[in-house]
Amino acid sequence: MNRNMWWLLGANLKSDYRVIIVWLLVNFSLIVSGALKLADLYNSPETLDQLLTMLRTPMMTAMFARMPELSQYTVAIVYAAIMLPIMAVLMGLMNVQLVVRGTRQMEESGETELIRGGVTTATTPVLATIFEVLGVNVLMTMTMGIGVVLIPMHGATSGGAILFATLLGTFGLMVAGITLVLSQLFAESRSVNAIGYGVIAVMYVLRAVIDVRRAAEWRWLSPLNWLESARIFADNRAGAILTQGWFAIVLGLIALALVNGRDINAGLIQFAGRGRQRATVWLRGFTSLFVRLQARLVLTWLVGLAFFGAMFGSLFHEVGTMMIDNPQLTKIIGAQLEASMHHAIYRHFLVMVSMFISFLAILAGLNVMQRFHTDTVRGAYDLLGGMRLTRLKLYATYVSGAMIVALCLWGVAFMIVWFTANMVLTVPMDVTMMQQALVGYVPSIAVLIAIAAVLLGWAPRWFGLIYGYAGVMFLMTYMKNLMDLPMWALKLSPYGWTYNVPVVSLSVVRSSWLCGLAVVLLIVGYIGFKKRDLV
Amino acid sequence: MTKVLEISHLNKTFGKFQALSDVSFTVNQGQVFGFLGPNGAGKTTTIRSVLGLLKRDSGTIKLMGEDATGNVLDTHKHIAYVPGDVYLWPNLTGGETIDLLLRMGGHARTKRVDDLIKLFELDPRKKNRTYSKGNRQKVALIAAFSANVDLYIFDEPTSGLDPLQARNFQDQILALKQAGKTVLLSSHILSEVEKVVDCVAVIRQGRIVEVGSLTDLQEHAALRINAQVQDWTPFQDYPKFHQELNGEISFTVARALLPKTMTALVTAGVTDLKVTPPTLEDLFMQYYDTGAVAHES
Ligand SMILES: Nc1ncnc2c1ncn2[C@@H]1O[C@H](COP(=O)(O)OP(=O)(O)OP(=O)(O)O)[C@@H](O)[C@H]1O
Ligand SMILES: [Mg+2]
Repeated sequence: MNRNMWWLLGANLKSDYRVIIVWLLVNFSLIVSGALKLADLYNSPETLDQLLTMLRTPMMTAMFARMPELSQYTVAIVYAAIMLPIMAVLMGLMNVQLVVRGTRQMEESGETELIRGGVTTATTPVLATIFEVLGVNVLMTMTMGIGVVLIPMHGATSGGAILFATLLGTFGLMVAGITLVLSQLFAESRSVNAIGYGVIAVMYVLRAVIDVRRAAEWRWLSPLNWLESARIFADNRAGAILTQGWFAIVLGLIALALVNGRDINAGLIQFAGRGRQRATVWLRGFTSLFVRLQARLVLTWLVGLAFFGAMFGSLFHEVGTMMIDNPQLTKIIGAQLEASMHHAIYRHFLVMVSMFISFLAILAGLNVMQRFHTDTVRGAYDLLGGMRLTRLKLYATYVSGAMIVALCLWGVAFMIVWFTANMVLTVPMDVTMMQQALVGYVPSIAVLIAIAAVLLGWAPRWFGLIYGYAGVMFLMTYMKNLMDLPMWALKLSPYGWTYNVPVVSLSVVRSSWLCGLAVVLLIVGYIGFKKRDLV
Repeated sequence: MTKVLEISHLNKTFGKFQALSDVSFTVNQGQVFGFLGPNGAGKTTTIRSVLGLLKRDSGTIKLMGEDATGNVLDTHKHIAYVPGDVYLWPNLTGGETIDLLLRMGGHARTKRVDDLIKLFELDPRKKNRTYSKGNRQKVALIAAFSANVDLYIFDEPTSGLDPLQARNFQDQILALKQAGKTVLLSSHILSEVEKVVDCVAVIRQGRIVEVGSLTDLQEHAALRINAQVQDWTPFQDYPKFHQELNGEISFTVARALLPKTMTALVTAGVTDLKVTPPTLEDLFMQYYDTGAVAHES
C-alpha cells in the first residue's frame, strides 16, 4: 500500500463521482418511492391479499420475485421480496461500470501505463479500484438502509432494513469481484462490459426460470435466488451475506494474483496476433469494414438473446398450468370466458417477455451506434479523413446498422420465444396475437434508436445518457402495474406509447405516427451530424 | 502554376477558444510545403478543416480549384492523408488495413505496395493491436505512398519513426516531388523537413506568422552584430542589445537597415566587427518564442 495507491484512488473518485452520485440518487429514490407506493397502495389486509395473489402467479414471479412461503405477510415482506432482485441488478450494473472504468478503461486511455511507469506495482490500479468499490458499496448500503428505515411500512424492522441493504451491498461487491477478474482476462473494456452485464442478465433470467419452475434444487445457481432465501422482515436469514462476502474476497484476491501475471494492455490469454497478409475480396469499403467490426458484438448479443428467448418461451407452459390451479386469478385478469383465459394470460406474459427482449434488442442497437462515438474519440475517423466517405454514408451506415441490428435481434429472439412456447404447449400460440406483438414493438424500437441518432448528431458526448433514459423508462414500464404509475409518465418514452401490446392491439394510426416520428428524428439527427466536428 | 490547395481567411473556434484565426496560404503544384509550428499552434486543426473532419466557422478552402469540403467524393479523389496519431482497427492485420485503405480510396494495389512494405520493414501479417506507434504510422504511410493522387497530406509523419525510417520517408517525399506531386507536411521541427521542403508556412497560436520559401525567410531574417566600439550609446535601442564585460556589444538588425547601421558603427569608432546570419533553427526558435520576427522592428 503506497502513496500512489491513494493518489490513484483520489483520481478514480474524481473521475467517477458524477456517476456515483447519479447511482446514489437513482437507488435511493427507487427504494423510497417503492416503499411509499407499496405502503400506500396495499395498506389493508384485503388489498395486500390481492397483491399476493397477483404476485404468486408465474408471470409476476418471472417478472419480479418468488414470494416466501409464510402464513402471515406484511407489506414490508412483500416490498423486500420484490425490491431485492431489482435493486441487486442495479447494484450489479453500477459495480460493473465502476470496475471497468477503474481498470480497463484507464488502461486503454494510457493512464495506467503512466502510473505504472512510476514507482508502483501492477496491483496498484486494481487495489485502488477495490478500495473505490468498497467505499461506494458501503455508501450505497448505508443510503439504502436509511431509505428503508425512513419510510414507515407495516412489518418493517430496522434489523430487516439493515439486512436488506447489506445483502445488496455484498451482492454489489461480489459483482465487482467478478468484473475485476474479467478485466484481467479480457483486453478490451467493451468485452468486459458486455460480459459483466451479460452475467447479471443471465442471473436474472435464471432466477425467473428457477422460481417459476419452483426448482428448489437449482436455487444455488443464481445469486439472486440466494437473496430471495433471506426472507427479509420474516426470518431475516443472513447467510447470503457471508457467501457473497467470501466470493467477493476470493474474487478480489484472484484478480490481484492475475494482474501480476499479465502484461499491460493485454488479457490473460495473449493472441499471437498474426493473420492474413492481404485483405479478402469481402473487405471492400466502409460498409464491409463496418460489418467486420461489428460482427462479434452482434453475434454475442444474438447468442444472449436467443438464450433469453428460449428461457422465456419455455415458461409459457408453467404460466398456463398455474392459471388453472388458481381460480382467483380471474379477478385480476378480468372476468373473461374460460376458453379465452389461457390466451389472456399468455398475452400478459407475452407483454412482459416482449418488453424485456425488445429492451435488450434496443441496447444492442445502441451498442452498435455507440461504436461510432468511441471510434471517433480514439481517432479511427481521422485515418478515414482523406477517404471518399461522405457524412451521409457514415451516418446512414451507423444508424441503419443500429436499426437493422435492433430489429433483427428483436425478430429472431421473438421467433425463438414463439418456437419454444409452441414446443412446450399442447395448443400452439395464437398466431394473430404473436404477429401483433412482433409488429407492435417495431415502432418503439425504431423511435428509441432514432432518439439515439439525434444524440449522435447533436450531442455525441452525451450519448451515454440514452442508456440511462432507456433503462429508467423500461423499469418504469416494467413496474407500472405494481407501483400504479401514472400513464403520462410512461408516455415520456416510446414504451408508453406501445404499452401493453398485444393485450391491447396497437392501432395502425399510432404505429404509423410513431414510425413517422422515427423518420423525422433520423433526419434531425443527420442535420446535426452534417454540421458537427468529427474528431 | 496550378494552385492545388488554397486556404483563405480560415477561422475555427472550439467553444470560446479561437483555434485558427484568419489562416491563409496556398500550396502550388509540385511544391513540398512545410507547415510548421509549436505544439497546439493549430496545424492539425487546419489539416482537419481541409479534410472536412472539422467544420470551419468561416473562410474558404479550395482543393484543385473546388470547395474542398463540398463534395468529398470528388475532391478526396485528389488526396492521400496520414494523420499524426494513427489509430488502426485492432483486429485487422497491417496488410489488410493497407488493402482496405487503398480500396476505400479507389486506388489499385500495385507492386509498389510490396516494395514499400519491404522498404519500411513492416510485417504485414501482424494484427494492428500488436504494432508499435511507428509501425502503425508505417501502415498508413505505405497506403498513402501507394496511392496515385495529386496532393499528399502528412501530419507529423516522422514523429514515431526511427532515424532510418525517417530517411526512407524523406526519400519517398523526394520521389513524389520528382514525379511532380504536391506534398503538405506538418512538423514541429524545421530540421526534420529542411532537406525536402521548398516552402514553409509558420503558424503560431492559430495565426500564420510567416509564409515563404526557405531562402526568402533567411533573407528577411535579422542579422546579428557583434562589435567593439568606443561609444555604445547609439545602439542601446536596437533589438536584443546586450553588452559584455569586455565592452563588446551585440544586437540584431534587419538586412534592410544594415547600411545605416554600418555608418553608425563607423561613427561610433568600431574596432572589431562580426556579422552573422541566423541559422534556420535560430530563426524558428524566434518564431516559437515570440511569434514576432526580429525584422519587424
Ligand atoms: N476538438 C477540440 N476541442 C477543443 N479544442 C481543441 C480541439 N482540437 C484542438 N483543440 C485546440 O486547438 C489548438 C490547436 O490544436 P492542434 O491540434 O491543431 O495543434 P497542433 O499544431 O497540431 O499541435 P501539435 O504539434 O501538438 O500536434 C490547441 O490549443 C488545442 O488544444
Ligand atoms: Mg497536431
